[in-house]
Amino acid sequence: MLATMTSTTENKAFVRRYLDAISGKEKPAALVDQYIAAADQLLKDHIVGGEIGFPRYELIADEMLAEDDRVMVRFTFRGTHKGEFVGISATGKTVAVPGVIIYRIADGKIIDHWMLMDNMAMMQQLGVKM
Amino acid sequence: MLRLNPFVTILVLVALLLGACQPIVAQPQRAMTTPEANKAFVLRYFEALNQDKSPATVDEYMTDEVLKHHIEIFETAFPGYQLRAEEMIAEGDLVFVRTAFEGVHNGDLMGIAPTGKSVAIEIALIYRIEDGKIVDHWMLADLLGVMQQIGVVPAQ
Repeated sequence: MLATMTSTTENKAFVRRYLDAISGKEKPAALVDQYIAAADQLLKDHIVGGEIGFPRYELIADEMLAEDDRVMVRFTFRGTHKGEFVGISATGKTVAVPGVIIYRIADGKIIDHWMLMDNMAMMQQLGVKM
Repeated sequence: MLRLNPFVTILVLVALLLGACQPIVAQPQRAMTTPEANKAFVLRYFEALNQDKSPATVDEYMTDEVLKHHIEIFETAFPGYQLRAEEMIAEGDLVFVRTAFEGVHNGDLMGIAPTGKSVAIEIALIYRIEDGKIVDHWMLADLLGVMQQIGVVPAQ
């Protein structure tokens, strides 16, 4: 029980350090690799894609819950649409979109994740006609 | 500094002690509100909701009026919709549930006429549970997924 408590506290602190390291900043592979293991290539790809569309985008943690080896972060994604994103050319619009991500952490790195973002809000804020 | 005469001080102490006794009396109930018990509660709640979404059932599990309204909207648009807990993370009085939603669009969805299309989306839910009821929630549903699956918005 104590071991579990310690690891969830440590995992939350790790996620805070990770978000501090990437939020509002450039996200070069060397930096990202310090926090995300090779096992979660998909997350690395998401970051590369997000960074192309919204350079130096922010991920602001609004709430965190932890259990065992997992940390849930309810976040706000903030950025300005300066590059192509999911096939949509740059609009110059600044967005603030809510989302949720679950990180699975082992040996001090993210090894897996699950994510849901409010894509409807994203499209509306980008002014995409639907 | 507030100065109290001895009589008032004793009254305050008695009141504090009586107050301190209350949680002890209420402990059997309080002890239920652990993360494990809260997760079990959410599973029971999903099971009950999958059976029926009558006001009686809904009232048994929550006091959160906004959530009751959300359930009404979804039940109108997707009568008999089903929820499945794919993953839960609980801490304190909060439970996060990664939820699979399945329903058939057989009713009005906020002005969109029924299409008869089946919809399967993910919903992120966070419930705050107090005294065996949901008192607050936060929700993120993949509404773009809904719109794409019922054919209102083209899939990317």
